[in-house]
Amino acid sequence: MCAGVVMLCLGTAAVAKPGDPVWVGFTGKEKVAIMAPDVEVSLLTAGGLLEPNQEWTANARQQLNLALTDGLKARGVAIVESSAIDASATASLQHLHAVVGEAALWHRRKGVLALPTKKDAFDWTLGSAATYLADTHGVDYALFLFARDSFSSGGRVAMTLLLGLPGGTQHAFATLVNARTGDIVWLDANYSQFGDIRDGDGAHKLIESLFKTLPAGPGGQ
Amino acid sequence: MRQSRRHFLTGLCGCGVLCGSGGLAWAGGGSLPSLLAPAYRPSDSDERGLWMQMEKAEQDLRNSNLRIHDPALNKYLTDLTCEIVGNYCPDVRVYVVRTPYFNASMAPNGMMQIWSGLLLRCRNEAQLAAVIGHEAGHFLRQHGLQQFRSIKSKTALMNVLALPLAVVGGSAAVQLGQLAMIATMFSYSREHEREADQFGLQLLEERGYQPSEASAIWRQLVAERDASFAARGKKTPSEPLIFATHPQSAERMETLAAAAAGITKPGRQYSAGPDRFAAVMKPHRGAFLEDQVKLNDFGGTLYLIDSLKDDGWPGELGYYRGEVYRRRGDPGDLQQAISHYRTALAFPDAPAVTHRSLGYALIKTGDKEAGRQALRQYLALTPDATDRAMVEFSLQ
Repeated sequence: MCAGVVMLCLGTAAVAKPGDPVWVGFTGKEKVAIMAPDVEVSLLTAGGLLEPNQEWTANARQQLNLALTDGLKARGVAIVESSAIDASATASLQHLHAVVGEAALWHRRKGVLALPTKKDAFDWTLGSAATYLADTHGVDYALFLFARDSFSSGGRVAMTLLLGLPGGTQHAFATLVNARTGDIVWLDANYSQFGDIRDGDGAHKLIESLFKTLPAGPGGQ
Repeated sequence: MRQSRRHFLTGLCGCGVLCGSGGLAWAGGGSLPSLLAPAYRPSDSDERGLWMQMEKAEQDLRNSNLRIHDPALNKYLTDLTCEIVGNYCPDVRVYVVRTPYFNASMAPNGMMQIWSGLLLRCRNEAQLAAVIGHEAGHFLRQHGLQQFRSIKSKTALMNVLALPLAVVGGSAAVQLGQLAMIATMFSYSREHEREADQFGLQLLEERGYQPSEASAIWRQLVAERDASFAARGKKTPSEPLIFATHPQSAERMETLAAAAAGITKPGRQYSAGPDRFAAVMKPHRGAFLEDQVKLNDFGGTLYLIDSLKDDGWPGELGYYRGEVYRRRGDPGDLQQAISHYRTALAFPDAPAVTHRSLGYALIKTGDKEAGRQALRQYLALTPDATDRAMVEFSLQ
């Protein structure tokens, strides 16, 4: 039942480097809305089907939300908590973020996935939909988190050992979005075969690894 | 991985009345009980996960711009569903979705979708009740959960099977084995459709609706499909059996008709349902038909319009009949369209836009003065026309 029981070890892979010139505007002194984390934690069945788990997901969502809050507070950033933000009114924005964030991640890679028209430009945006946050909560930025994690069932562990099929995987990315323009000003991701976001320790570890490149507080620009 | 799982869930949720096929094989006609108690909440971990996913999908559906919000229509469908499912009323939520195809669907958590194309094709409340009863069958017999569990065990088996096959026969054999396995997944779903058909028929009979109306829907769909292919000079292809997510409609129609005859109680009065159905649909049918016309399905749409001609809206139907010809635009179609617009305008319910379509068609055929006259008529009847400036430009 552990993501660590795998044959392939990918470890973690950060996408951005501290001091990357694309991260502009944010100094850590602005007010930031923490968006409810978009989380799903599943059981990876023997046949490779992801079976979403309600309890694990609820735990992970709560722990990651806490870790985001702690992470920003530790960097001295003024925040609006996710509980103050209307989930229904921001549902489409969350979907948009998942799609745009994923696309931005893919195309920042070198090689065939690089978009010829983007070159070194980083101009991904959620557009005017994000202004709802600035208008309603008076924030300058919004912090989004997208996380998917899966854990192998007993049967899947056997499949992994017998057939070499991959086990559970963690995939997460966080972005900082300018609430007046919708522009993504910071983004980092984490892929891992280890870690457990269902508990406080694992959730804080993930957020700290993502926040290493955040241009605020210790390690910031 | 995320992508494929999402598609899988869409399939689960979207498996409505169109999925599966006939050949109802329920033995002895014994009645199917509901597997759920009212106010049921899942306790098993996999079912709770499934409901969590569905609640998320429902949140999206609630915010979807395809939803039809009209309070009268929503209230009618919710009330009707409540009448049909009785004690389970608080467990089912109905959403009307603007999509010009014939379908309805039920998610494992009680989220039910009814598409506008289905509403357009139902001729009376009994037919609509048959569909709602069918969807209630999927919910109360827990088909979504059973499907999910079946796929889960079959995908595991697929991996185990793949190992010896790969050794013996190479990758082609592996693919063949997987193909057979995938086919049994679909057949599992067809079993569910039969069960839901039976469940719906039971409810239809219990509520006093004419049970034969369930097969009448399929009869109309079969004929519409035939007309659609015939207009394109093609023979209606047989529906693929092994991967039938679309019904073997003809077969289903026959088995439903036979089952309806079996379930009908001698001496009991059945009806096609109260007149309220027509009254609720009236404000919407123009928009629903407009969507249908835009599918550019010449034969199918004309068949549908013909089948609706006894429902008392000759002007509106005539206008759309003209539109079907105008949009196809084969030689002679414009003349046909003009003739249908003129026939429509003899009835008081012809929409004002009929004048506009007639006007442009006449101008195109060279009858400029009569065309301008029709356009002026359109503007006179539509003081707040959003395309006024464009029409006035045409009049210069």
